[in-house]
Amino acid sequence: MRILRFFITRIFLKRWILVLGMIILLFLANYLSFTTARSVISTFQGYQEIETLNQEGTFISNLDPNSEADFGNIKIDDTQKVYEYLNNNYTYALQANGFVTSLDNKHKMDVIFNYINEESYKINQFRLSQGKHLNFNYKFNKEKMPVLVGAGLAKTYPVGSNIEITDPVTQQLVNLKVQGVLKKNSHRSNFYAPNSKTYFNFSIFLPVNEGFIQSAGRDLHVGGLMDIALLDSTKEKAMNVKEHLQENLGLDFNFFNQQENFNYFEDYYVDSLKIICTITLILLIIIVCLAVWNNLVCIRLMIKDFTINLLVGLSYSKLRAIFYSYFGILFSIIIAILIVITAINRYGFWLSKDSTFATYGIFGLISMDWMALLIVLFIDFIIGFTIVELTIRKIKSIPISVGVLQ
Amino acid sequence: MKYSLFRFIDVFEAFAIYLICFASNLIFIYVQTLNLEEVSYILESFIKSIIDYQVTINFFLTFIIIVFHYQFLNRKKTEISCRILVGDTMVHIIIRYILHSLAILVFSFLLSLSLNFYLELKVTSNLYLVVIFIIYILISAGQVKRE
Amino acid sequence: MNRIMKLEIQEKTFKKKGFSILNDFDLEVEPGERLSIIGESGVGKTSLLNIIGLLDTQYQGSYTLFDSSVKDLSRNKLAEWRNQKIGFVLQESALIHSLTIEDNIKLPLMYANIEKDLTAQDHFKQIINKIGIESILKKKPLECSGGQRSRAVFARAVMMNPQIILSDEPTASLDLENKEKIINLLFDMNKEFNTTVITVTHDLDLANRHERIITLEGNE
Repeated sequence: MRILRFFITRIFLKRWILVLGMIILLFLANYLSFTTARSVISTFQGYQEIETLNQEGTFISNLDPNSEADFGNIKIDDTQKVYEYLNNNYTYALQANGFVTSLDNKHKMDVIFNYINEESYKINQFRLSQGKHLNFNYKFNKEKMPVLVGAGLAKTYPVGSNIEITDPVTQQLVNLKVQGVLKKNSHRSNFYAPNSKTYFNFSIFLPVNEGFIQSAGRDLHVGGLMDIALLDSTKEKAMNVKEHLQENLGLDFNFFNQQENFNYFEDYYVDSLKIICTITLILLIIIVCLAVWNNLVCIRLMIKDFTINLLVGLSYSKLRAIFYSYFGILFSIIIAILIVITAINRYGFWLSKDSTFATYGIFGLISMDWMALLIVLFIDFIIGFTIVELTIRKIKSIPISVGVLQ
Repeated sequence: MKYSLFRFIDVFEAFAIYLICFASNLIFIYVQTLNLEEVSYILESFIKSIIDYQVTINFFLTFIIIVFHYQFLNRKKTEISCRILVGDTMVHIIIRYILHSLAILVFSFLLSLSLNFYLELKVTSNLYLVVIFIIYILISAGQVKRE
Repeated sequence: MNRIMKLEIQEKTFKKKGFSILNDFDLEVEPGERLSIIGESGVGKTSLLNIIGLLDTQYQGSYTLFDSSVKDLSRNKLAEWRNQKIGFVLQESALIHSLTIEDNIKLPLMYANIEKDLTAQDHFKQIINKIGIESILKKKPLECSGGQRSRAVFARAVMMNPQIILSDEPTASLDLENKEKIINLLFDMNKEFNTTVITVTHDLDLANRHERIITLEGNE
């Protein structure tokens, strides 16, 4: 330990520019690895969520990106007809997110209303930290609506409390009864960008049943159709819905089945991840080459210091241990910086009152951040090993000789 | 070359580092011209998380040039002493150092222009880096010292 | 016979440079002997010192030091012996410029893990007093004169009371007065502690003050 301290304070830090150069390069390598690892983990998590829909007989709607949609011309009567048709002929999962409302809460965040029907609720399997799961057999406008609240609202609206508010989709004064609290950081991934998530810490989940749909406005009706999933259906029946939507709303929807979704995943998600990983690998190789160069430069300048130390009793194995410890310290510093930056980013969502991204976590980091850091740590081991072994090889290739000192 | 402090390996190292900095800046600019959203949301959000820090990353990379000048001048102290012993002057050595450093910078900038043309980017995209590098060279000229 | 080292080198080859030195070179040294090695530049004087000083083990031949075959010793053991049994007295430039003179001299103590040891500290003070460099301990090497630096190098070499002192042109860059001081210090160690002194030099005057002179010759 004393020898290590001696080397760091008296030899390495005497040429602090080289140390700073190394920290910068290793930081770039770590940041890049971290970003990539998080992207991959997040995409994978998202895929796992979406995979629950990748089942025989499930068809997911998708507004055709090549079609021209005129939402202004859609009338509530038309959307009512669509839902009547769906209710009579199909089993479907519906979830409509993102109806912002202002509801007083401890963190002064905007509260988001999410509407979910029973099928979608079953598929998503949200986990609760308190209370009971939603029930869907209430009578809208006659009974209090049972709701789930996000973890961020649990203190202001604990289980059993009542909320009276104008519902943004029915524009009616509704009475909500908090029936349960979602686990911290409950989220949903975007179907087409599974690495992007919406967090429900400041959301309220409202159960949607037929009665509610009849009272709901056009926004919920149209919003719900965007991600609607037909369950236990057939391609033919899905095509009927497609035609029905085209006739009544003038919107061109596609309905993809399991195989098509799988192909889509193959072509899109996997290819995207391959490109990301390739870019990262190339950049990492360039950065590691620069880091090795930086360290060999250190050797050029410090060879006399190393030789004198080797002369008076330092061994190569100790020198190797010194380098490994030195890089261990550098990587620890960099990972600490990375944690701070990530925590600041996460905390930034709280400061900007962005309720869809505000998350809870140890030091502000959520599980995917910690997993990504673990991967970064593994990559650091490889980088550290590469640099140290090349450095020791270089030092060994220069014979310790009194000639070096004369 | 006889009068220069730069050997082939020094020129190669400086040239390569300049090129890495220029190329990285150009690639950042180029990626922003692509419509990645149409290609892949995943790719787009990944690239965005890097591009958000474009200036910082470019600035960090330019630091490697500082490292180059620092180690170069440290290694050349004995050579500078020897040159002064045989009749050179510190002023001449500094002037030559600046000129040769600038020459390497200009050549690598010119080479990076081919990438500009290839990617159809403005030729001025890398100019701010050139200014930063010139500042580095001038600052490092103050560190030309003998043993 | 009572001997401290026995060296039998068939050849020391520099493959990259394409030549060899020290062909069929034998050397036996007794404890407390004062030996000087002279020869023209390039005949392998410094290479021989590297071999004797356990810095170089890449040669054809055998080397027995303190009754142990050097080739059987691990790298760690070689480092330990360099620390405790051998002292190197080199030219005044062989100091780490970023450290103070005191830190430079105490380096061997750090590797022996006795830096904080009271006996070692007393020993350090004794050596410093004897060599007369108390006033420059807190200075950096470049703030000292050549003579002062040479004495600092000497102090570092004897800090662990080595059994062998190897010196390579120890007085090459010194004036007469400082040269005399260093030679006296070397020989005082030899007399006082029966330390073996092996000196590589071009200086015939210095070589003649040793008990035995070995002349290395080239291959031609």
